[in-house]
Amino acid sequence: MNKMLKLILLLGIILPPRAYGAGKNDRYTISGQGLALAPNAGGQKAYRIEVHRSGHAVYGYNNRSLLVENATLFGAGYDYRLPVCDESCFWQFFVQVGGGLTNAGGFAEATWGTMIPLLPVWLPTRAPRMIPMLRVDITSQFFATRERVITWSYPLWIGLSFAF
Amino acid sequence: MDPGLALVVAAMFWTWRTPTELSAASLRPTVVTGLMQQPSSQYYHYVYGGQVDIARKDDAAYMRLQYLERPAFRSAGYVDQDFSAALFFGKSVYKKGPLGIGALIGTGYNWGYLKEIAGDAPSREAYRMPGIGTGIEGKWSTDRLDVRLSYQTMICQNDRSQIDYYVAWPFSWFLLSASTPINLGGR
Repeated sequence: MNKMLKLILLLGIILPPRAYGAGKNDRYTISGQGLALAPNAGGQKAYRIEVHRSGHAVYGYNNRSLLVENATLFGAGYDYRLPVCDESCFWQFFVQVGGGLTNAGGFAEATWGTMIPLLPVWLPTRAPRMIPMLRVDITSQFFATRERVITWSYPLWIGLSFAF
Repeated sequence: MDPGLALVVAAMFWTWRTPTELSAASLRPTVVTGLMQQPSSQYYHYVYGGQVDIARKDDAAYMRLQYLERPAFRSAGYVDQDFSAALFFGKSVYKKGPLGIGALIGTGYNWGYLKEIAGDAPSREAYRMPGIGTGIEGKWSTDRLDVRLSYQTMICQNDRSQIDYYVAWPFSWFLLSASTPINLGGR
């Protein structure tokens, strides 16, 4: 699997680049994420639903591995997406910055993410609609408490995305 | 984590879609200072180090070599220290006048040690973990001065078996740097 992925990536490097510039951002993309790694066995059972269009993303999430008093951590927020390689790329990279509210208080967020269409080959075209994409995020959230700023990370938060 | 795989991803990101009209290059060597958070710890440690950027015009694409270390901390007969080195590939994702935002991805290593200062049989423990690094930074940049505030993470694993248990060790840094760009020529 590792060797196949490297081969696909090398093809992506040597094939001629397409014209620079952003594609049309008129698609809705729905993403669902369900598991993140963690510095403990078992990872984090953290679930997130996000809807994105034209650089604006709104989401709700629940981290069942973190407790706030007697409830698991849940919240909602808004991010602005800054594309590194947007929908005009087959394989998208982006960063998102934003924040929201949770039952533990307000938070700010920074995410580095990628979406890879689940097709068996790499195609020199823009990201296709109606094809499920593997979404992998590295997300950090920052909560301000009275004593300190708490940074909580979701390394490799994995899910699926669907553009239409 | 496979650093080779991460480097291939970063190289793809670096070479793809950089227009030729932005081929002018500059060099930005600087010192870096900031705070580090270790995995599963909510304490922040002071860190310092250096980095050098090789950048195309307007940061259409740039490469960064970075080294960071936490000062050795001595207490109760022990001393410990952490280090980090990384190679990043970055790109400007937003620009308005001198202000901008950059995104980075790369790979590197975190390593460190804990040892007894004295004793009949002083012990020493050490770790060394490769990882995938990502970053996002705000910048204020002119031809003469470049100031950046960055947030970086590095997702590390001790060995491949940890992925079976969904284990990863996220290090975080908040870093401040300032440099004078050195023009390397080009259009």
